[in-house]
This record gives sequence, structure tokens and C-alpha cells, in this order.
Amino acid sequence: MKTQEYTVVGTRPVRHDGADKVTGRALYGADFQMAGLLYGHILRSQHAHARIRRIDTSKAEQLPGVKAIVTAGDFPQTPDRLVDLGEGDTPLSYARGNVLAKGKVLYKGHALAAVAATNVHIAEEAAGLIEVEYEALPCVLTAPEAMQDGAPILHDDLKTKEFGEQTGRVSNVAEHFRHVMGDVNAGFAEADVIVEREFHTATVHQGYIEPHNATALWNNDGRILVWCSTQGSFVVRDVTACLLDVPVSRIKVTPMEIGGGFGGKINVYLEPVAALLSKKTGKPVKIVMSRKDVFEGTGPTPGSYIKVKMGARKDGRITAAQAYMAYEAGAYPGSMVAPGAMCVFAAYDISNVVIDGFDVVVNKPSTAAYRAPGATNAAFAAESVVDEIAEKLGADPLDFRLKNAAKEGTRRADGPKYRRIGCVEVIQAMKNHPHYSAPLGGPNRGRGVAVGFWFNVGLPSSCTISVSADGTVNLVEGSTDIGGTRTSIAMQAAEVLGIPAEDVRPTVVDTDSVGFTAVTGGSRTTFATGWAAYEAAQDVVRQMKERAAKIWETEAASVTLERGVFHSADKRLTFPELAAKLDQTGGPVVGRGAVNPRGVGGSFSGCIADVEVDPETGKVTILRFTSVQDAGKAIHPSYVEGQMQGGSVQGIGWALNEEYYMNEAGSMMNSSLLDYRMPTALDLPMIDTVIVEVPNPGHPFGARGVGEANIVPPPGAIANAIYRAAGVRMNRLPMNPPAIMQAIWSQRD
Amino acid sequence: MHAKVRVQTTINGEPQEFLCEPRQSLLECLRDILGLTGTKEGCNDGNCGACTVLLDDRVVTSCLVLGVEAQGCQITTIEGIAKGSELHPLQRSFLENAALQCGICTPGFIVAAKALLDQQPNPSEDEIRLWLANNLCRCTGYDKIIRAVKQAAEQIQEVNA
Amino acid sequence: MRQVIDNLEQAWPGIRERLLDQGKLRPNISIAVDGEVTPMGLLEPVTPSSEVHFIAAIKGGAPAPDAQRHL
Repeated sequence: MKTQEYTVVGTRPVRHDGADKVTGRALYGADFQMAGLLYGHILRSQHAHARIRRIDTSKAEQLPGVKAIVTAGDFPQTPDRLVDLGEGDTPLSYARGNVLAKGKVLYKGHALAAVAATNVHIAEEAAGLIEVEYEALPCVLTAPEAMQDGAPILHDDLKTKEFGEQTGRVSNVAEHFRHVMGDVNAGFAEADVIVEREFHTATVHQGYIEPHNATALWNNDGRILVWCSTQGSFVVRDVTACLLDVPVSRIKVTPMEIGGGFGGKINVYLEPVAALLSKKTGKPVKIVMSRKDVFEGTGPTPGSYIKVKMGARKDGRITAAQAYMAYEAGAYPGSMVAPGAMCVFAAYDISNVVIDGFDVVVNKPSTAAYRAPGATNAAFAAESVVDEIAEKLGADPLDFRLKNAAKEGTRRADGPKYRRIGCVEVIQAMKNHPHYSAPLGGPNRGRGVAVGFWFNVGLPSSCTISVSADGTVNLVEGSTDIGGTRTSIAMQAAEVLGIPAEDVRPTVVDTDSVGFTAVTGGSRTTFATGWAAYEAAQDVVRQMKERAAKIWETEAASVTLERGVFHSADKRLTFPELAAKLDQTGGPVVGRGAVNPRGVGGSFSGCIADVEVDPETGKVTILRFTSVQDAGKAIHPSYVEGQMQGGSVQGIGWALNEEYYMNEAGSMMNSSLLDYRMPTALDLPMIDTVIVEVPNPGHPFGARGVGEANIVPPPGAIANAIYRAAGVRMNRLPMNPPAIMQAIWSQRD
Repeated sequence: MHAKVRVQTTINGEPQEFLCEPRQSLLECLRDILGLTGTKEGCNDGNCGACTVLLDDRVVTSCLVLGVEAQGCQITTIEGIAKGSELHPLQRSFLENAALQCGICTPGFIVAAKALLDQQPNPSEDEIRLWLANNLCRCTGYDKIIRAVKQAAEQIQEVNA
Repeated sequence: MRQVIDNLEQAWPGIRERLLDQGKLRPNISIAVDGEVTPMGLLEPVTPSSEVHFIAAIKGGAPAPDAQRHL
């Protein structure tokens, strides 16, 4: 891949949906209105684990204004089977069970009934009149406890799969897998320094400001129309179709603007319920979650128990690494322990590795993806141990990492060798940054570093581009826009066409109007949907060259396009000039692209954190923070910076304050934004960013996905900084004031 | 169902009258009765700032104000920040600085920041952070928001100078 | 790739069951050839020098695109 001067890629145009977003005109899911709309409210379990003996909706039905009530019994009564709804085959009963509980409730907040009424207050009141008879059961809330013999069992039909074999053993461990590379015993024997530590991380939530919402209309023609804020319109379509047992063609999902997702708005919670209520009432039904529902009834990320052991020689080379990773899946199997295991040592070239991963169910909400799912937990553990080893060897933390950094050709513990990656470049950029060498004076202050990795995915995306007579183009795509991607996608098309970004009008459309497009997640949107736009633009260029050739009476092969001007011999036409002639040369030009790209690169990220720890209160202040990430090629640098800053701040919140504070009965005590403490503007300094560009040879512009890797290193870096500031190595997240004081006092004793 | 109360207010400079139940928040009245959906609900208990409006020039979280309390008051919402088709310097600055990603918190930030600049035309970074501490953003990490507010302040001062 | 799996089944009976369900690649498994995840699955051409890994699928946090396979 040669370095190139681009005209549009790498610039910073104003986003196309900007005016709507700053004037309040943009319509998000909760803003949706329609004639005859009814409002839904979900009744949620107050028990963390209980059998449902009886649900009596009769009183609720009589409340004036109530139009329908649904429970799990309203799902089609089809026999249970395995469906492809996630990482592995899931029983349909599990998939439906999380949407509306059947037989048992498995976490406090588990949905078990829903009411549709003429206004939301009546619906809420009616839900309170539904009588539920529970048989409370003991609950289990952490992975280690759930793994013990005699622990309360969540699913009588969940049997442990170990190393790919079904053991037939009923337990809370859905799966145990292991990655093995080389010989760890030999590796540890060779080591001069060995560090082994245990870590615990609490459940945290993605914390998007917009609660989940969905409106569904089960129309008179049998089509089910859905409007919602989602990261994946086609996911909503396919999963809703599966749960309702209807063909996908019956469902049309129109994505509204979305107020944050970070992985938590991929799973389907409300749409099937709204659809069932609509079927019963014959009216459109809108359901919007409360903030409490969001905490208690959606998909936070797993809490975890992780043990990491690493050994290194005096010369600074890591000789062996071992990890034991038990992740809480929540009520149903499917924690992101597998990606976590792939990432835990991903930044390092280590020949001898063993990683054991456990997917464990507990009586908490069923977990969902959260920005680089599984990797942040893992990096907190690994980067703390790396820091301790470097210290014991008397090595500079970044030099130690450089000495062991993963490179092209390094083999990861789960098997594949890396292609071109930017781990070394990221660490080098950290070393060279003025922050790393800036003096940090004063007591109780310390500086820490960490690095992390996350994959990008390819997956399918589609796009069409139509050319208008004035030389502007309409671009239609299906990736819901959480962070400005309609613009980064439009920019890639503009670059190919040689027109300004402003002359591309991108629209995100519904599932009837564009080809299949996978989720906005996995750091794939700018990469893959951008590629679809690139292909669609190439298709437009091919057709326009043919038109120019017709006009100039020459061969299309002789026509070139350079910076928006078509040439052949001494003839030239600008893109707008040629666009004006399309109707005289054969009619409209519509280009299409549909991709399922290979050439996916991963992204490394690193951060430097300066902290001050108050030795009397344990409060940690972030004094300075720098985020470094390999973007491959930053299509729109402002939005790449934005991803880095946003992910960093989520990582800071994860490190210092955020957690599901559960009581022994499995109830979240802090299910409000007051007590689930996310960082505010007052808690932070400016977040400096450095975009490293190690081009991804697989992508037309060299882009890597950048959305996620930046959340991975902050907790590790902050833990390492706290150690230097306060002399304590933290092994729990969050590192909140009480935890820090405990650690300081234990140290003193 | 409670008897509805008639509320008379001025919203974005225009007289507005509506009927609401006493239990309905100002946020609900704005969004569901008046169709002004630019003001957003994030938590409904005053902790995220997405519902920020100005009530007689005071920055308030409209989820904690009852609709009936707005009787006789002047309310400014995000819909009233631009002057016709001309964006307010804050709105322009947010766009130029990429100070929004998903945009759900943006209306609340712009309304709150406007009140700040009306009172303190040249705020420091610390003053901006303190003023906006009740507006949560989960996407941006606040960096570009702070820069946008600062740049808008400078631009407004240039125009006034 | 399909032939590779058939050959593997000859040498290690039972491995096909781990990788395929009703003849299709299981949704929780991705195939990486020479370090690159392939979107072509069982149709991916393989050369004698290719290195093939069956790894956990990373799907961006999402259900498999072919969630409708059962219908």
C-alpha cells in the first residue's frame, strides 16, 4: 500500500446530519409518533431467581385504558429447537426467555409481562396490578461461586461443554475451553521472574444516554413494521422473525437515529414484545425503557474472575504466560470470554501460553457486547502483571513491551499469525510522546501505561449510489449511524468519484430498501460499509466512463478519471458536467456495491495516564491522559479522535467508579445515573490523541476499524499509575475510593 | 386519570398553551403534548442533563419540573436556539469541532452552554466543565465539547467586539 | 475448505461434527487462512502451504447473519 495524497479521505468535513443533530430535529426512536399509538410498559421480576408459579393479569386488564397484556405464553407455541442467534447454537427457549420469562425468572429485572395502554402512566399502573406468585430460589452472583459444587443451578438443561465435548454434567458452566501453545512448564522453568495475580472485575454497563425503545405495528396485511433505535436493523429483523416464528420478509425495520449503543443495542429486547402487543390490539405500540429498566433489563458486560501468571528472563523476554478466565454470562450462556481469551496476551510475542476460559451463568442480566467485549477485563489483568514484571526486572514499562511486542508473523495463542499490525508503532508513539517524558512532580502522583488489542470484523454490507443531474450523488446504506459513519462512508465514495464530501448525500435506510448489512459494531462500519460505498462508487465510475466514451465516440478503456475530471485524449468533462448529460446518453446511472470483505486488520491501542491519589479519601484524579491508536488510515480524523476519546473515558469510568453494586439478594442497589457513576466533564482533563497509521493492506484506503480498541488499555494503565502514586497494586475493578483506602490500609498493616 | 390543568407559557419566544395532568413533567409536556421532541429523556431523575431547558433563564432538568410549574414562565428549548435558518455559534461550533457522535446529549449541552455564555462570555476550561457537569455524554469524553464551547465563546466575542 | 474438513474427518473422526452443523459451518466458528478470516467459509480455496485455523467467531457483538437458517 503506497502512501497517497487523498482529496477527501483524511479531511474533516462537517457531518451530513449535523444540522438536524444540533437543532433537535433529528428523530430518535423515542421521538417516533404515529396515529393511534399505544404505549407499552414491561413488568419485571423483583426476584433474582425464582420459579413463576402463577401470573394473574385479570385486575390489570380491567384498568381503563389498558388494551392488551402479553406474557411468554403469547409467543407461538413451537417446540424448542436450536437457533443460530449468537456465538453458538442457542435454544430458542433461551432466546425467547430473556425477552419474556417462562417458568423461571433468572435475574432481578427479568421481563415477564407487558401491558399496552392509551398512555404510559396507565400502562405502568396496570403492570403494578399484575399479580405474580413466585417461589423464590437462592441466587448466585459471581462466577467462582456459580462454579462451585452445590451452587444454585439456573438451567436444568444446561450441561457443561468441555474442550468441545458435551460432558452431560448439569452446572452453571456452559463452556470450558483452552488454548495451548508451546510448553508453559518449560517456559516458566526458564523464567528468572514469575508473577501470578488474581483479579476481579465488576459488572459494568455501556451507559448509553438513550434508553432502549421500539415501536411495532402488526399491520392488517400481516407485515410487522418496526421503528427502533438499534445498532443492527437486520439483526432486529432476523431475531424478531425467529422469536415470532415468521419469515423475515414479513418484517420491515426502519432504524431511527440512535443515542449510543457501544454493543448494548444489538440484542433484541422490546421489538418482539411490542409486536405481540400490536398483534393483540391491532394498533402500533411503542415501548421505551426507563433508566432503571436499562440497568436491570438489558445486557451489561460480564463481571469476571481472572488469574494471570507470567514469567520472563533477565534479558527482558517473556517466556511463558498463563490465564484462567471465568466470565459471568448473566442469566443465559454467552459471555464474551472467547474474545477475551483471544486478546489477553494479544499484544505480545510469547511462545508458551495456556489460556483457560469459562462461560458461567449467574443471576444477573444476560450480558451483551460492550466495546471490545471481553478484552478490557483481560487487559486489566495482563497489563497489571506485565507492569509488575517490568518493575521487577528494572525495565522501562514501554521498553519491556517493545521487546516483547507482537509483530507481523507473531502467532496468537488462539492460533492465527498476525498480518501487518501496528503494535510496535503504537508503543513507539507512546514512547515518543511528550507526555511520557514530562516531569510529574508532587506527592501521591504516578504515571502508568498499558496497551491493548481488538479485532475488526468484515461481515456483509451493501450500498447503492445514484447520480443526480447536478453532479451530486445520493448514497443509500444500511449501517445505523452511532458516531458519524454516514459521513466517513460518504467520504470514501466521494474520494473515488472525485467530488466533494458535501456532494454525497448519505441516507441510512430500512431493511426493505438496501441489501443486507450487518451490525454497526465490531469496528466494522467505516471499514466494511465504506468498502461497499467504494465499490458502488467504482461501479458509478465505470458506467460514467462508458457514457463519456459514447459522447466522445471513443473506447471506454481510454477514459480516465482524475480528481473528478474525466479525460480522453484532449477531451475533458468534470463529474457534474457529465452528470448533466446522463439523460441524453442512456438514462440514470446507479452504482451498487455489496461486500463481505476480507483484509480485515486489527487495531492496537495504548494509553498513558497520570493520576493523583488522595491518601486520605482514596479519590483518584486523572491529571493527564493520552490515547494512542493504530487507525490504519483515518478517514475522518475528528471522528477517529472522538472514538479514542470516548472509549478512553468509558475505560476511565470502568476503572474508577462504575459497577453493578449488588446486594446479597441479587438486586442492583445503584440502578440510577446518580449512583452508577459515569465520568462527567468535571472528572476529566482533555484527552490527547495520537493517530498512528500503519495502513491495513487489505482495505482500499488502508483503514482499520477504530471504534473499540481504545477502551481496552485504560483500566490497566490507571491501575499501574495508582501503583506508582500510592504504592498499592489494585486487583479489583472498580478502583473506587473505598477500594483504594482498603488497599492502602492493608499495606500499612 | 386526573383532571387536566391549563398551562400558559412562552416557549422559544412564542406563547404556548397546553392541557396537562398535574403528574406530568415539563419534559413530558414538551415532548408528548407539544411535539417538541428535541429535548430528550435519558434518566427521568435529573442525573443526565439530556432534558435540559431554560426556565426563565435558569438551567433546569425538565424531568424534575412539573408541567404545571411552567405556568407563566419563559422556556427555551433546543428548538429555539437557532435564529430561523441561522445556526447559533454554539451549534456551528459543535459541528465544526465534531463535538457530537450519537447526538442524543447535544440538545441538552447546547442549551446549557448557551446559558453559560449568556452569563459568562469568556469562561475558562474549568468553568465550562463545572457548568456542564450535569450534562452526561458517553460518546465523546467531553474533550471536543469543551473545545466547541470555547470556540463559540471566542466567536461570539468577536462578533460583539 | 470443505475437502480439508472431509480429510480431517478421515484422520480424526468426530471433528466434522465439531465444525459443521447440517453441512454448514457452525455460527460460532470462523475460519482463518494464513491469519485472515475468510468470508467464504467452506468454499474458500486452500493451497498445500496454507495454514488454517478454526477460531471463535467474532461477529461485532451480533447474532450470526444467517440467523434465519432454521426457517
